[in-house]
Amino acid sequence: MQNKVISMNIRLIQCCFLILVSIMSAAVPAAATSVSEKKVELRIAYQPLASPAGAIMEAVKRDRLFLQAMARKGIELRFVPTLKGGDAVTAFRKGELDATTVGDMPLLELAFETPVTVIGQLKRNFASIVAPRGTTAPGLKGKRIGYAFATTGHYALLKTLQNGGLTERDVTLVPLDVSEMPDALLKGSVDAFAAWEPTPSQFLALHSDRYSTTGRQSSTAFMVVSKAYVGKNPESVQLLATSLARAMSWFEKDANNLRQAVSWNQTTIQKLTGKPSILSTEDLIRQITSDLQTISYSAKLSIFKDQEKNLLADELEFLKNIGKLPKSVQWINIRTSFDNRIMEKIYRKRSASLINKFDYEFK
Amino acid sequence: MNSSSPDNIRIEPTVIPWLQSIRGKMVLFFTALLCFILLGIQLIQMYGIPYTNYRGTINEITVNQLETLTAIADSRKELIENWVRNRRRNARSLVENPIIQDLQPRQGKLAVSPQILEWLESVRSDYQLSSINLILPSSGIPVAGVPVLEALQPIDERRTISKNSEFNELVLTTYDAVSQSSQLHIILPIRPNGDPDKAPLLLLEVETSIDQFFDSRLQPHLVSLLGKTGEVVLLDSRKQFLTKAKHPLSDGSMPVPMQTVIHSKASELAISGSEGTIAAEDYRGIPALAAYRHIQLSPDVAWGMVVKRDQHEIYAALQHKTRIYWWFALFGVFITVIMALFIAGRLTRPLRRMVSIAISIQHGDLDARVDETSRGETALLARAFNSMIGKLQGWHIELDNLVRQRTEQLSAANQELQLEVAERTRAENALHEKTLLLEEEIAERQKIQEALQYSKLAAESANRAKSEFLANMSHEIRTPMNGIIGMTQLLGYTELNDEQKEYVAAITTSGNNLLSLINDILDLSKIEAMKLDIVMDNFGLRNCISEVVTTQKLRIYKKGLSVKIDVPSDVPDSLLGDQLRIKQVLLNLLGNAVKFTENGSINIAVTVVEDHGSDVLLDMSVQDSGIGIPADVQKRIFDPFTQADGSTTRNYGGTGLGLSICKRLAELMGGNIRVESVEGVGSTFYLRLPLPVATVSMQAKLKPQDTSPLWDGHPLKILLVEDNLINIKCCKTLLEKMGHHIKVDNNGRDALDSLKKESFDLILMDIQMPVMNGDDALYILRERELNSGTHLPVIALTAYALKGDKEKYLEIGFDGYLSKPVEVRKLVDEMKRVTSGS
Repeated sequence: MQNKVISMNIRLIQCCFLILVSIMSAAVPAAATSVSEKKVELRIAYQPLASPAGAIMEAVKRDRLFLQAMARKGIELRFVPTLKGGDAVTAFRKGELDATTVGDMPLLELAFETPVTVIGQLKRNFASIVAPRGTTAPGLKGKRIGYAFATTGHYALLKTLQNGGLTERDVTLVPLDVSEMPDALLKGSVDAFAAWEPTPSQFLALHSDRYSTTGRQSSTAFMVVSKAYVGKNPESVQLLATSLARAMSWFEKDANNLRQAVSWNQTTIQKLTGKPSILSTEDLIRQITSDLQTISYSAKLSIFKDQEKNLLADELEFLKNIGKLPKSVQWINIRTSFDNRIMEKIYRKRSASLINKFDYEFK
Repeated sequence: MNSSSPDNIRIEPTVIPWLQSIRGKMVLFFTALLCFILLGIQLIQMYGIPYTNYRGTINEITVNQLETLTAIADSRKELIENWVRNRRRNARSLVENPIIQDLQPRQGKLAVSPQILEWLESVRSDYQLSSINLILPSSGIPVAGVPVLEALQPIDERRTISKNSEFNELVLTTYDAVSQSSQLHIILPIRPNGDPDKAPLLLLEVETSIDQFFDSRLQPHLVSLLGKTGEVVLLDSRKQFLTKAKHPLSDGSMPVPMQTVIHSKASELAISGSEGTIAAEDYRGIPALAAYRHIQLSPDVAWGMVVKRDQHEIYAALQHKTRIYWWFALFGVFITVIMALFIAGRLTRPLRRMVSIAISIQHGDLDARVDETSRGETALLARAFNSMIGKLQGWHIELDNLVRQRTEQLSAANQELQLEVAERTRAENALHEKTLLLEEEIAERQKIQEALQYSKLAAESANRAKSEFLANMSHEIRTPMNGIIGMTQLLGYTELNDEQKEYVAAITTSGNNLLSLINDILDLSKIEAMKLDIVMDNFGLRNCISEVVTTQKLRIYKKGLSVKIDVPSDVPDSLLGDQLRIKQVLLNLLGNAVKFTENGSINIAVTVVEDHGSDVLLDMSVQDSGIGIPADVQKRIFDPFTQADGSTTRNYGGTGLGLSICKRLAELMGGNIRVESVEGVGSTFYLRLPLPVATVSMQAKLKPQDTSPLWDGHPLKILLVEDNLINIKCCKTLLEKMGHHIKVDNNGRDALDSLKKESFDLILMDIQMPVMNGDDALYILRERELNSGTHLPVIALTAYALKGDKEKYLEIGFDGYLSKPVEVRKLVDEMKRVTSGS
């Protein structure tokens, strides 16, 4: 109950912040002209409960090189933690955000009607359906399943149901925040839940004797910036991308760096949900290390022409087929949102981009 | 009967060992069955139904197998990821080595010292790599490497790297046709002095055999875990086999790595990024259980892995045990049927024997017997059965004899019956003839009876007409007689000389005689009309006889006769009877005695013939010494209008009705009358009557002689309503002599008019009058009185003197009743009575 209250308070704070930002941005457009050089903001939402994006964004938040560069440009940074990508997508559509980390399914939902630019990839792992041991995909029929709408977990659930010959109509969907899912399953208010990392790993690390994954689906996450913002402030977007690349280089350089970032991430999660992370730091490090190897350090979907029809394109077709996205949405609409040039520029001039120079705030 | 006769056979209760009895066996059987069922239920509750709940077991095995496949898939995926990670580290460590970083190609060639190649070889050997190559980024052709190959073919993907300077790592999979194995390539850029901003001059490629890794790390222990059909299949992003397959394809050919595309649901799901388990056909089209995994080796390279096992092998043990179970079940059914047949045969054998014996008995073999050597209830049943047969045999013999005897009797009876039937037939015919005759006779008699009935009715009608005629005649005669006697009585109250007195006496006597004659006629008519009733009342016999004698005393005196009355003391004095009728009979007898006796005496005697206490039978006799009655006349002397002869009437007078009336009256009173007479000596008439003895003394009822004057009260104003002038004269004179004031009207109408004009103390009203009868006038008078509230006494004066007439007139409203001719004394008494209340 206490956790729920804290969670609600945090949501309230987030909403107030977003409302404040909206009022401010709408109320003073004219005045902003005169002071635009000084009052430009970069509002970035991210999901601490997503791995490894949560840890990456914790490093970005503390990247002095990035912060100072932005300050020099007079751009004020606002980091907005959200429980799931769906919340960020909603705020993004309303113009309350300039950038956000977002998973594959929310990205597809956002990109097909909102002009965005994908500047980098932050995750490539799995979203899982956690259920009592021995539960097969067809065995989910008639079960109550906790999920978060329009998330990578939701997509994993839809895909697993399809693999088992089922649809959403064959189960009872119970909307939950990802932080609520483990307790709901343990208390029996749901029979299974669909979540993205690290929640499934955290849960199964403690309850693998009773629960296991019924199905998993490859899951990705990206950093998305509004096209309008990119047009107006390309340099700040470049700085943001550089900070992302720097964070990953920092993680690769030393495992202690990653440990530090994970620690920051866990602190943020505890503040956000009121509950400590149940997965140990070492487990998270191991998982993130593995995940980072599969992350493309650019926004390229693939460097090979024949692999352009990748998993994201499959996901788009799937969501169109089951009616989650309009049939009119074409893959080209999504693909053109990916801009490789930002990351290419960074990696071509690594020294100039300072991606191998690290200065983080440890307070 | 001897001791072995069926009636003497008794079934003695026998103690049967409990386990040998049918009851014991059945109890044992059902107990064992129940125990078996309970044990089975208990075992099922404790251990479930192994290999019997087929679907449940299938599910359980499936789940277990999927978990096993999942565990293997996860472990194998981790092995692959670690293996690739290690190869990646190997490559990165080489790239970061200064020796490698110092290598610089010149004009498309790279000079590598033997020492470096030796070092690379040692590294390759240590890292168990297939090769280590140094490649020109521009052409993608290896320029140096270990082991040294004669010709290395360029790889397009390697050239691609040169176009993407930002790349950090490249992972490729290729198939080496020479070694017929799949290779994993990890390619890293070698930048001059490690400067990240500089373009790579060389690429370092480490190549390792996937097959070798597969065979050494993924396949071991797989047989023990997944059986003969268990298999790990690795496939690239094009769904091609990465390694050699364990089984041939459905067409019998073996898949070629990196060439043969896998068509299976699990592999498609794995490549599409899904992980999970599935029951589906594998690449051979054979049903299998599989766990599939998606292995992302690099941002752009992913493998799929399917760990699978054929379903027929998974369920083989279950199916084998299920077959065994069915065989056991069939065997159990077979054994059960055999056992059931055996037990049923054993249990029913005695019964079948008994059935056989029963059939023999049915066919007449009563000597057949059941074997009694068996045990238990069957032995008891056999004994009882034999006993029953014995009794049946005895009854059969007895019944046979009885039937034979009864048949003979029946035959004899039948013959007799036939004779009797013949006899009865003849008798019936005769009877029929006689019945016809009888019917004719009955019809004839009915006709006669009808004629007789008609004659009887006619006679009775004539008789009633005669009686009514006589009654009417009596009424018509009485009316003038009333005038005669009345006027004579009035004449007697006048002053007469002796001669006149004699004439008046003669008139009186003649009137009385005539009245007597009329009364006799009237009585006879009443008797014959059955209208004369006997009125029972207390009376004194002696007084009755005395009064009869008194009435005839003058005549007896005149003829010089003596009368002797003899009533013994044993004759009760108070009796219950019709005194008037008794007097009438005695008076008639005494009158005849006086009449026919010229000298001598007359004796009146009463004797008790029977005394019953409450009643007595009396003989009242009147004996004279007269002329006597001839014997031939004595028989008809009691017939009406009969006297001894014609001269009797001429000599002695009389109507000849007296004795007839006496006889009729005697019979009406339950007695009789008879005569004993000797002609010339005298006659004795006997009146025999049964009379009840009265319980109340008659002394109290005896009235004293009335010696008072005719009317001693105040004079009355009387309305005399009468149409006969003589009667008016007679009655008016008589009443006026008493001092009353008389007004006369001749009919009822005039009387009613007079009553309107003046008041009266009394009305004397005749009944039969012209204009208006007396009873009609009375009705109107009483109607008037209802309004006025007055009441005027009215006495009916009428010649209707039959029984019931008095009651009838009193009922319709008359206060008094007097029959004509009116006696002065009765008239005075009645007038006093009706006016006493006024």
